[in-house]
Amino acid sequence: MFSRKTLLIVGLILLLAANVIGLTLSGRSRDADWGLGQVGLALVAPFQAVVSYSLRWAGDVWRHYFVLVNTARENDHLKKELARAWAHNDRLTETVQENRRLRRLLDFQQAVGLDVLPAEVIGKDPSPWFRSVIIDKGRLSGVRKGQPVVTAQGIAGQVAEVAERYAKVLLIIDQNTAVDTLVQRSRARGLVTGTSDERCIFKYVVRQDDVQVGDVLISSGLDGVFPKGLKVGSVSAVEKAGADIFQEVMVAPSVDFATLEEVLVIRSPPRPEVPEE
Amino acid sequence: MMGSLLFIAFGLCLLVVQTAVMPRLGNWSGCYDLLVPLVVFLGLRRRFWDGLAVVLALGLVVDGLSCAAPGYYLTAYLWIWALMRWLIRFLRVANTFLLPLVMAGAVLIENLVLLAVPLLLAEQTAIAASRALSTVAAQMVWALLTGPLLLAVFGQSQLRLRRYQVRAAARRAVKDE
Repeated sequence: MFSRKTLLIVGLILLLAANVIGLTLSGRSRDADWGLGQVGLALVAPFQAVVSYSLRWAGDVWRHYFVLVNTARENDHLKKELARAWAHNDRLTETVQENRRLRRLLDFQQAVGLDVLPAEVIGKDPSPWFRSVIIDKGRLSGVRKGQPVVTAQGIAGQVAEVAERYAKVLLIIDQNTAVDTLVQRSRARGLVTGTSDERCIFKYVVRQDDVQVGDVLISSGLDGVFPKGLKVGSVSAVEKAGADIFQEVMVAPSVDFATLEEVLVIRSPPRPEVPEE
Repeated sequence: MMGSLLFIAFGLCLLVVQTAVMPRLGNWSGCYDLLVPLVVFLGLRRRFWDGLAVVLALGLVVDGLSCAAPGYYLTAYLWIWALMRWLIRFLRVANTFLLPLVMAGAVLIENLVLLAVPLLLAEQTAIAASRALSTVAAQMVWALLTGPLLLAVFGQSQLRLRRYQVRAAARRAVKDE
């Protein structure tokens, strides 16, 4: 009755109409709960979530890796910069301290008005039983055996041996040195020598002499080595034992020998003063 | 000859460390003379004349640096070296257990020489006994603990030097052929 072509065209038109009607109906009832949508959601969403989270995690890891690498590099760089800054700061601090010490030495040099030669301590005695240091000035700089060695704080020692460019200085805390000394306040006189424990002892001070703890001791200038008036130390203890004619006076040296770095060698030793009768 | 020069160089390095580096790093007054292990080593492990030459050279150098009367260190080192030469005749002093004791003994000998000789010669007054005892005891403990390590370093250096010399001799022999 109908040709096959006619049937196909009618079928297509019907399908198109049904589709349009269906779309129109579904458009009108958009808010209705169909159920099928929930099933699809329940089935697919978990996978979507897993894949989505995984991709996000991978992305985050990837991004953070690069961030961390960059941060680590930056951290290394900053650490190096910090280390350099610290080293620079240490050098500056050291320079400031050295400057301060040298300024004190210079002031002292101008104050004493003697021909002095600054020298640096470069080594200490290898033995703990002897107190000496090695300085970086010797015969070529005019250093001679017996010359006094001082610091801004006071007397340090005496040149014991001289080489061309170096000299050995025996410190006043060594047992083999002696400095003719006066108590600044009472003018009591004696000899300051070293002891075995990095202190000094004020010897041959008669019992009647007025010596008190805290008294400042200065060089008398009578030994012909150290100029008069240089600080030697201060009295740390006084003991008058038994019937001894001398009192035992312990002295804390004015120079800190543990941190001795720069000294002055006095190249023009004073002429010994004649004691007043 | 090369060995002697090596050990003299070692000695000078130790001396610089002891007198210029260590004082700047704090108070090391309890530490022993670092050349003592070297002298012990020379007595135990080197030939007679090699060891003697190095001991003499180092003794003179240290005497020159110290304010001790000339010859004190030389005397101390020679006594230690001679004692080591004598000990190796009948004792296995290279033994792990004996070595620290030998080191402590050597430090004691050096201190005896440096403290007793000036007293005998009336060159200086006695050092307070308590201080002398504590200082010597501290030095001996340091020597007990660290002396064998220094000896091991010297031993390794000697071994490497010998290997180097053997290789150099072999190379020369091959070249000559």
